[in-house]
Amino acid sequence: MKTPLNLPIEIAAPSTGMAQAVLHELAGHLQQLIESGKTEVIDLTSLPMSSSDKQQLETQLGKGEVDITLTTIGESRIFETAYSGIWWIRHYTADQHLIAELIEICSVPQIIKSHPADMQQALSRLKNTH
Amino acid sequence: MTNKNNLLAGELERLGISRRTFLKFCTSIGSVMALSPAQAAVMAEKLVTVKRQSVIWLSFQECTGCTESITRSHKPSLESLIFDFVSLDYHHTLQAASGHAAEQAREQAMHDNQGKYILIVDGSIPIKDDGVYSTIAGMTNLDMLQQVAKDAAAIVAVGSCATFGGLPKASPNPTGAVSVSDIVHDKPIINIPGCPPIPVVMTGVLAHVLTFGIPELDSMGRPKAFYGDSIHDRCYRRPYYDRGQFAKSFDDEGARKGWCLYELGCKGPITHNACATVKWNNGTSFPIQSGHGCLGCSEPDFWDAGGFYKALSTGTNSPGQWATAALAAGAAAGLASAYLNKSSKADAEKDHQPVTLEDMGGKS
Ligand code: SF4
Repeated sequence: MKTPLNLPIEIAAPSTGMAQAVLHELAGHLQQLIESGKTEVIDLTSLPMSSSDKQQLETQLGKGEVDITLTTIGESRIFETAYSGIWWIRHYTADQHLIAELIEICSVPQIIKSHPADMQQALSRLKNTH
Repeated sequence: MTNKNNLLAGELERLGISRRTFLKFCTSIGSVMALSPAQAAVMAEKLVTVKRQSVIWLSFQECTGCTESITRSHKPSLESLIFDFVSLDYHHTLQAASGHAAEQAREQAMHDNQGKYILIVDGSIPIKDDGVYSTIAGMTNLDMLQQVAKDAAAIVAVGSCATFGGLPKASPNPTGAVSVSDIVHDKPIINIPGCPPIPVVMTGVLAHVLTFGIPELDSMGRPKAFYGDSIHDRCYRRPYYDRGQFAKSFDDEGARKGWCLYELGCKGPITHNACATVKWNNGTSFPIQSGHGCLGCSEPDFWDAGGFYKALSTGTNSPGQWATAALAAGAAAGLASAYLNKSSKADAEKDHQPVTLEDMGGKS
């Protein structure tokens, strides 16, 4: 194998103002959550955001009091931002590839709640242990 | 109790996959499909109750790249889960049986699931000289397609060959290659073009068919969820395009700085596919991220489009102008995600009119 070329490639990612737009949208959704209880999800994967846009948004939202790791097949990292009711969710595959990145505006992200089918299964497992 | 083994729920239980994990994968697939996250949750609930679906896969004039693409998707994933869950009753590359036994399996599946099986086709169909240029078990592709399509519930044409004729149809088209929809007219056909298509697009469509039925299709029979946006709509180099910063050669300063590849022949503006968001090789990269323009492999006749390195003509406006206007309109409204939704997209598309498919098919 040849040694890989070492070219001075810098892919600059300019910020496009997208972070500001998302913040504006979040305010609207949070107000809606407070007034009517309606939850909302913004799918960051599908927005044309540069990496610096995303960084900017994450810096501005900051970290709150809750930080959760799901260990399903591949991890999921979920934290509440410094703004209560605004949650940042990252889903990874087993080989640490990011497959979904969302901001959920809710009191508890849906994926954290236990699913009835899982609970049912847990119950039968419990019953089988004695 | 109902027989859970025939349902995806049973399969999940057998594999020890929790509903939480399943929801996570449905969320990721939903994101790719532009389903709202609420719909993704509904899909997760519905998918577990579907019965094992019979699928017959016919491969005609093709390179097996489509099958490679799909079977190499990373594991464990919803793609592999769904793919393992369907009952693939016939696929002459993957199945263990061969010869008469293989053809018998196909006939058996057609008989047992009459009117209910899904037919997947990759490869184009040669019709010149009575279709003699490609045969399976002594039967021409044309005859086999007609025979199997007759009792299918729906047909999924996978890859640019089955959807548009693809490379076999490239000029001078020696075998008279045509697409599935050129031959079958009385069945719902879902076109999933790409050379090859993105694996998750294929399983996403299967998941959609199993839960919500046939997805919404565009005028070319493509699921809007995956093919509604152009590469250009979702390209991370788009800000450079909007500012008129273009690489002029593959080793100039602009190329090194990651500027837009439009002038190096990028077909992103007229190519509808999900590469810019879903990417390739387990999400590692996609052509533009690797420094090469999009070839437009999921558009009809891309092979004869007059050169991969020829810039698309832009009409009278400079590309910077009209695109900036579209972006500014979205940002000013303060609705970042609405910028990409259906209604604002229609406006953006209007602004994109100067570049059309004709540019791509422009004969020299
Ligand atoms: S022309 Fe190509 S490289 Fe440039 S922004 Fe559009 S899709 Fe990206």
